[in-house]
Amino acid sequence: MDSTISPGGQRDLLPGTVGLGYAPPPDAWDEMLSQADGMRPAWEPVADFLTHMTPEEWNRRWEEGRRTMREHGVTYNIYAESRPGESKWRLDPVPLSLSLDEYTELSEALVQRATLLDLVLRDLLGRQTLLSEGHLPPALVYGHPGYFRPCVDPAFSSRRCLYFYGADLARGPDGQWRVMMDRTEAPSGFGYALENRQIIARVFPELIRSVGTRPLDGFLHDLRETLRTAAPRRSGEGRAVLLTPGRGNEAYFEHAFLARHLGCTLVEAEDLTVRSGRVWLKTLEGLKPVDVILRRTDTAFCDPLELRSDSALGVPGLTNAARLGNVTILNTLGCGVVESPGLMPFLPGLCRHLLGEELKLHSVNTWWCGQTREREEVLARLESMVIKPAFPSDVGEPVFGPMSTPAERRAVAETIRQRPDRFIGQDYITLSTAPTWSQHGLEPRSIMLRMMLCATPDGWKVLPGGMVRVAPAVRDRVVSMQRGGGAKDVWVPGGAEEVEQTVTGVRQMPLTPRRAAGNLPSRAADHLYWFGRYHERAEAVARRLRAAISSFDERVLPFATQTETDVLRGLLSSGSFGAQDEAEESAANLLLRAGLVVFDADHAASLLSTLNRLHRNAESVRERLSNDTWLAAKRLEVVLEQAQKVADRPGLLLPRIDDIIYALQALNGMLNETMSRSLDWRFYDLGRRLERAMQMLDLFAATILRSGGDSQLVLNTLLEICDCAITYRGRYVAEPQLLPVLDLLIADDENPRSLVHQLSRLVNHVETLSDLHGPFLGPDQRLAISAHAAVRTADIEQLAARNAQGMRILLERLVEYTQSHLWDINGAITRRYFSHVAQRGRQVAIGTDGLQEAVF
Amino acid sequence: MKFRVRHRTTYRYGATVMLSHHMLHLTPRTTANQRLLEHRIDISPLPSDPPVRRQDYYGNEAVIFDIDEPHERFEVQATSLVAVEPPVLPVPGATAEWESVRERIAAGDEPAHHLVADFVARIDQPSTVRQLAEYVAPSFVPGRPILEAAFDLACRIKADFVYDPSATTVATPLATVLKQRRGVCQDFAHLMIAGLRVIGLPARYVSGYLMTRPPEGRPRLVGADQSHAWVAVFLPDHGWVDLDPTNAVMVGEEHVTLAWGRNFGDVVPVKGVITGGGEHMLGVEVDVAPVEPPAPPRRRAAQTTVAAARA
Repeated sequence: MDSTISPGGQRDLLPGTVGLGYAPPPDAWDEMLSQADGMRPAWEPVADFLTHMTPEEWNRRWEEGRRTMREHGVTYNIYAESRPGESKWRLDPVPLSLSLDEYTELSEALVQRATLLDLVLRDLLGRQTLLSEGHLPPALVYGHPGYFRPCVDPAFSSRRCLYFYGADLARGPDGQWRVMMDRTEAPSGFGYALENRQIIARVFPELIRSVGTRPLDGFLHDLRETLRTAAPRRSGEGRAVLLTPGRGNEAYFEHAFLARHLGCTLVEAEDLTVRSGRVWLKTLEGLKPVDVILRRTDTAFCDPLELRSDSALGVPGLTNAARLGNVTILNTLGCGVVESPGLMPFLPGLCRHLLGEELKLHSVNTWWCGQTREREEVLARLESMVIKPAFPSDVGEPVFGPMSTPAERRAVAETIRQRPDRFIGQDYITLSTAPTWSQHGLEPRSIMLRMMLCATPDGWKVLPGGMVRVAPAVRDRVVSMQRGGGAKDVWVPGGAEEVEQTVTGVRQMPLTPRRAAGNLPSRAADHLYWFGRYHERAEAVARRLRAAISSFDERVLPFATQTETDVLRGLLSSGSFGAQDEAEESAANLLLRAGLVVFDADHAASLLSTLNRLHRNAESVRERLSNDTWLAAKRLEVVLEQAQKVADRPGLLLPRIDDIIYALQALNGMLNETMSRSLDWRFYDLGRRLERAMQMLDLFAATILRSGGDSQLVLNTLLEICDCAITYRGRYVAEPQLLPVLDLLIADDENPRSLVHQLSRLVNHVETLSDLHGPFLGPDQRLAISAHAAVRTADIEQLAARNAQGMRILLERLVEYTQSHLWDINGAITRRYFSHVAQRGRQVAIGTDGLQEAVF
Repeated sequence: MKFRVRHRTTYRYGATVMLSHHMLHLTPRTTANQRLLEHRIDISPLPSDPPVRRQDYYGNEAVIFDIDEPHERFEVQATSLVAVEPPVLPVPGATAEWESVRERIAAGDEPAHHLVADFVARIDQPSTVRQLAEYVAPSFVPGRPILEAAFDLACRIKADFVYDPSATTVATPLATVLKQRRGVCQDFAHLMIAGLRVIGLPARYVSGYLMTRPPEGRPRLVGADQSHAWVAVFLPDHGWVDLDPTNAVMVGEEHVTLAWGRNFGDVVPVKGVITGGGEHMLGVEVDVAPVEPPAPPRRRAAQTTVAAARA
């Protein structure tokens, strides 16, 4: 290798291959190339592999990776971006290769550091001897906005505080890794690291195998062990939940990912309630005790009673429940207090005091300005330092001394003198660079490495990998996800037996078989119900539009007869298409307008809005959906996008509408095939049946109940929309007639598309759900049973009969009666099962109205 | 002196509250010169479980409970019998120079330094900091004994500010109070505390009550028959000394201490988080009545009950 790639060399290895063409800057450590010795041994197989790949091969593989990311919906939301919603995860395909020695050394050092930080936390959140004996300056703790006095309790001295720990490491030009930041509040990255690996494993499967890269799956097992053994009581099943701030959080993807892989319920604050000092999960079957909370909400927001009173993301009483020891929160509330670079200079001393050892891994040299001598040092050496807030939640961008102007330095010096204990000075470190894929080949970009640990009964476990964060541009020396950088997978070489282990599976606790978990939170039930409803609504709109378009060849549209135009007007002037003017619109215009309306994002009932909501529902219950179901939901977005492009061309739109219908069917099929027949599925199907019945009734009103509603054209269209044409022809081998059509669509319980069938299913669902609430009939049951009875007992001949004015009064009444019942059923179900969801945001703090963080 | 204190807080809600969580700081502390003889707290509606009582971070007794029953009205009444002795006060002119106190605190030389340091940490809002420092400066001239200077500051606040309950709420920022020169005891206490901390002196917020029994020929003190608040400053070698800037007096045996903390937020007498409820109306009644001698026989320990009854 050395002969072909010299440091800074620009030569390609082979003609026509990507080559390296890689020239790292001389003033930084490069992860792959050493200035003196060329290629670092840990990189040789990777570099060799990459070098021999043609650009086409690269692109093909990387396209596969990108597709996987899209499908998995990997996101990291950047708050500053004006466009709300998802930002795509930026993953670089070139992994970071760590040598085994390097990884082992870092691991041992980080285990020591995690152990130390846990002891520091136990003390600061417990008896506080570090303060009373003068091992730590009080201002470093009392001045920390993440120090929450209600979280302090002597009992914590004997309980573990830190369960998850993340360390941000930077490597300077001397090749030494140093800790830049400790992550203890709610460390993130586990999920992203695992996800990154899943993607890279699809891009370079053979390379991962041949290098013997250590798999990450074992760490999931460790995480499960952490959760399983953290429960405060040995009795019971130890229910664990993952508490997320919600879909709006930048790392929501990771929260859902972890919940799914760890098998714990993903909850938002409103899913939990504290009664009698215990935490409960609000499920459809009532309140279920919660023993372990994997916390991803910052402490400040976790309890409006004792912490920030203006938090809408909190569970009132949670702090008290934790103090009483009735629930284990991972990490313990208040763990953010050691997330401060100001603490770093004290860690070597604390390590000697608490562990009797030397600190194995140094932090970046840091001076806390709250100390006189240290402050003078910082002020004297501003030019070579980075000035940062001592407490991470304090606002203020770092000031990089080497890049600053004298005026900037004077300003920062003045700020430091005013409030010295709020600032630290840190050695400016030129971050190491690592090869990063770009359009122009490999580029050296600055990186930082996050490593992650979890505490198990067997001690701290280190993720055999990590997450590298990459600077957004070549010359950029600052690395941050929020600034829009990217990520990298991290490879650690392992033994063959470890690779074997992933194939055979890791050591597991023996389990006894169990049935339905019964942890469905009411909020999730609400989302599943609407998932079902929007799914069915989208299908109904698509089918109606398809029927309308396909009844005409685009070319004969200008010659449409009055009857044909009437049918079109019926189909396209109600429900999702909105009421159209009574004006005599031409058939062509009607179709054109319908095509545009269904893709109008501002129209609440449009196909586009419906599918957007469907997507939001899917995302909110994502951890309850199988991967394939999720892919089917993502697929829907793709076909929708394609259809949107030809919205104004009915002829071209037709096949795209077909695609949408197939995608919906695939999604439904996937759900039905994979979802266990538990409450999850029931709420989904309940929503579907209710919506389908509503859509059918609406369709009857738009067709049969209009004048000329029993024409051949109408009946054919109706059978088509209801997907019953084949059944009808198979049964009657004749052109459709009103009576048999009504029988098939309304009264035939065998026909899964009939109205009575929807209502039978509806009754079955509400009856089963009612069992959760005891033997008495609820209003939803009453309504469903009477609607079902009305349809079931209707006489088809009478329904078809007309009165003297030519009106089908009985049919009309039946439609209205059933419609009003269905609306009421929706209301009754909402009140009975989702009512607390309606109270969202109704949580109010009293006694402290408007009182925020005190100003002093 | 002995006082019977009755403190009733009533919330009336515009809509039904389905569930509420509460935390009370209504139990008078036992201090060097104050003893709690009898105490009970009545809560309506009845809490779901017996309230949890705990010593909070600052050693105050906090009462925590939830009400798991639909209600439109919430009432809590604390009744206490408290004996207060006159505090031992140093001679203000003989106390340490204020700068020496600041130096000792900054150097961390106090034996219980870490407990005191909590009451100097963190001052935000640079503009207010400057205004506060300017306001405090005339009292804290170089070399002045700390208690003399602090008492002078309390007197100046009393002179410069108008007691006006309509001017502020619990959320009014200090900058506004400084500007409009109006407020209530809580604002004056916060103002003085912030002023002391700005110049590096520890100060804490004390919540309590004030008995007013206007003696012949002397004006009635403001602050009676409601919750009161004042300030304590730290004197090395002595401890905390309480001053009342609302009335420009040293705190004596007519002040009943409930709880202390860094500010009002640490010792809110009655707070909660309710689910539902709509608009709410708050009513507070406080009675501080001296118990005339002959006093009942002295008890060895405070007899405390937290009882609850339906209204």
